[in-house]
Amino acid sequence: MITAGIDVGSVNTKLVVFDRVSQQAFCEKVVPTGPRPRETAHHVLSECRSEHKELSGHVRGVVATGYARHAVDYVEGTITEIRAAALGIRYWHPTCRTVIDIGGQDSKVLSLDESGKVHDFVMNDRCAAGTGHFLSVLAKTLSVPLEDFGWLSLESRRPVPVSSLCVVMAESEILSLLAADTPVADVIAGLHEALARRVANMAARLRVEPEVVFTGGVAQNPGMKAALERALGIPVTVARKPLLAAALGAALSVGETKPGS
Amino acid sequence: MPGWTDPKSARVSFDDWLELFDRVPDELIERYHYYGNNEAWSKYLFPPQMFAVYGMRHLRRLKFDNSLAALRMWGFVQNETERLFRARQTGRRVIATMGDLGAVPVIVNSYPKCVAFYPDCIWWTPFAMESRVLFDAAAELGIGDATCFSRAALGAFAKHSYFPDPDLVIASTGASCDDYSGVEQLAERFAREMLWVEVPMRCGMGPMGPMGLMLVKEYERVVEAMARLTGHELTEDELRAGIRRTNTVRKMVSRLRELAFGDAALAALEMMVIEFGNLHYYSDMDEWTAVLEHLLATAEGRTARGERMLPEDALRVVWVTPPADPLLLTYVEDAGARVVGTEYVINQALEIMDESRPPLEAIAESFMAASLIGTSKARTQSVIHQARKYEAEGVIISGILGGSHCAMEGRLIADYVKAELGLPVLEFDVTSPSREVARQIGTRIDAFLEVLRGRR
Repeated sequence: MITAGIDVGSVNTKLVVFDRVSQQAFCEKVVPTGPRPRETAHHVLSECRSEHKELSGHVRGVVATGYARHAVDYVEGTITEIRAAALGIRYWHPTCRTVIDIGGQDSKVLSLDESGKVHDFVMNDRCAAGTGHFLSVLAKTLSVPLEDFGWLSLESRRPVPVSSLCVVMAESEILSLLAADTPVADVIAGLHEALARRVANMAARLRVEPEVVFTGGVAQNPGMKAALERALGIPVTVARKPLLAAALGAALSVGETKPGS
Repeated sequence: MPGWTDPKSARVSFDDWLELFDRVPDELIERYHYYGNNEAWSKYLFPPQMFAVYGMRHLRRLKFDNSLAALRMWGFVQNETERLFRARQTGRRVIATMGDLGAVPVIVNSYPKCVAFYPDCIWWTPFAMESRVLFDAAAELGIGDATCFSRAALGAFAKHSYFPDPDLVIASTGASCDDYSGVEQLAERFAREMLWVEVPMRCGMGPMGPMGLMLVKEYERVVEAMARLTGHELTEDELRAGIRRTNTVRKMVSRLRELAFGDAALAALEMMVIEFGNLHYYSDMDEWTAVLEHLLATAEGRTARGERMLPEDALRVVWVTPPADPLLLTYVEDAGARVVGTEYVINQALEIMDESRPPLEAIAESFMAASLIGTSKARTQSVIHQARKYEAEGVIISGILGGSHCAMEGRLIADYVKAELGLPVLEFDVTSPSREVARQIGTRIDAFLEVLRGRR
C-alpha cells in the first residue's frame, strides 16, 4: 500500500511517499516552507506527482503534520508532529524509547512505551530558546555558515559557558566574549552546551530511557549530538533521516486518522 | 417554558444562537429581569451577539449550550456591568470584594440593599474583548506583563467604566495571591474607602485553630465597616439567612457539577461560568439563584432523558486553574475531550457552611478549606479526588504567564498527580489575549489527547 505524509514545518516542508509492502520510499522531498505553507505543500505534492507518474491512482491517502498541518486542505487527515515523529522514528529505530526532536520553531522530548506509543511528552515554551532558531540566529551573528556550526563546536578545547538562552541576550553575551578574544569555536561549543542543557532539563521531566534517538533539523548538527550526550549522560543515536521522520510517520498513519481537519 | 421547547442538547456556534433566538417568544424576553423588578431597563435575555457588539468579540469564537437556561445565564452574566451601574442608580451600595474569592460577599450580601462584586473576575475581560486595553492601563500604573492577568482589575479601576466606583473596597491579602495583593495596593488610590482583611495561611492546623479564629476577628472588622457604611447593625438572624441563601446556591452548583462531570449534562464553558457565580452571584443573588434553578432543571432533564452535551466516548480530563482564555475549553471539547473535574482555586466558594455554628465562624471555617491558602500538595488532593471519582484519563493545568503562583505550582501539581495516579499531565501557560488558541498550545493539546487516546 502506497501512502504519503507531508510535514509542513516552520522552516522546511517535507514529503515522503512510502510503500508499506516493499518498505521503500518512492519520493522524498525537502523544500523551504516560505511564507505560504498551503501553496508550498501543494507545490511539493504536484512536483512529486509529475516526477513519479507511475504512482498515479496508487496513493491510498495523504496525511499532514507539522505546525501548518491545518493549512493543507486536500489530505485525508492530520496528526500532530509529536505522534508523527514517534511513528516515523520507531519505524526506523524499533528499540527507541526516547525521541529528542529539535526543529526550527520548537523542541520536544517524547517518551515511548514498549509498543512505540507516545507515553508522555514535553515541549519547549513559546520563545526561540531551545530551538534550532537559537543556533541559526547566532550563527549569523558569528558569520559562520550554519552547516559548519556543529563541526566547529567539536574543535573547541574549552567551551565557554553561555548563560543566556534568550536569543537577544545570548547575542549580546557572545559579542562580549568575542570582544575578549575568546576563540569562536569555544563560543560555539558554549552555545551548544547551553542548548543541550536546556533540552536535558526538559527531558528530565520524563523518564529518559535508551535508545535515545535525536531527530529534527538540528539533529544534522554533529556538535549538538555530542553536547546532548554530555548533558544527558547516555549515548544518543541520530535518526536515520532526521528531516523526514515526521513525514514518514504521517505516511504510516494513513488509514488511522480522523477525516479532515 | 410557554412557547419554547429546548432543541436536542448540543453545543452551538455564535451564529446558531442568533438563529435560535428568533424563535424565543417575546413573552419570555419580557419575563426575566434583574433586581426583582419589572422595569424595561432590567431585562437581560439577549443573544450573545448583543454583547459582542459591545466589545466581547471573543464570544464569536465560542460554542454555547443551546438551552434557554444557558441563554438566560449568558445574558445575565454578560449584563453584569450594566447591572452594577443600575445598582448605584437605584440606591444600592456597591461593595468591591477582592482577593478572597467567595467568603466576604456572604457577609456583604446579608445587608439590605448592598451588592458585592469581584473586580478580580475582570481578568477574563481582556480575553473576552481580545484587547490589551486593561493590561496597558495597569502597566501605566506600574504593574506590567510579569504578573497575573488579574492585573486587569487595576486597569478597570483606572478606567471607571467597567463598574461604578465602589462605596467600599474590602481587599483580602496575606496568604493569598502575591500578584493580586500588588494589584490591590495599587487600586487603593481609586477607593473611596479600603478595608484590608488579613487572610491566614492554613499551616496544617484544623480549620478553626488560631488561624481560623484570627479570620473571625477579621470578619468582625468587615461587619464593623459595613455598619459604618450602611448605618445598619447586622443581626445574627440576618447573617444566618445570608448563609442559608448562599448554601442554597452552593448546593445547586454542587449538583450541577455532578451532572456536568458525571453525565455531560453541561459543557465545560457553561460550567466554569456557573462555578464562578458562587463568588458573588454576578451581583444579584436572587436572580442568579433563579438562573441556577433553571439550569439545574435543564441539566436534570437531560440526564433523565439520557441526553448529553458531549459524546460518551469523549476523553475525560480534570482541569486545574481556570483558563483565562475561555476558548481553550471550546478547543478541548472540539478536539474530543470533556472536563470531568475542576480545581479553579475557588473551592472555598463551593464549600457548604455549617448553619449550626456561629455565623462568622461558619464563614471562616469554609474559607479555611481554600486551596488558595494551603500547600500545592493539599490542592492536588482535590484534583486526585475528582480524577478518581470521574475516572479521568488525564489532567490539564493551564497556567498564567507571569502569574507568581503558576510558575512553581503547576510543576508540583503535575508531579504529584503523576506519582499518585500515573495519569498524563499537560501543563502550559496561557499567554495573552488573541483571536485564536496559540498554535503551539493547540499542538500540545492535540498531542496530549492523542496520548490519552493511545492509552485506551
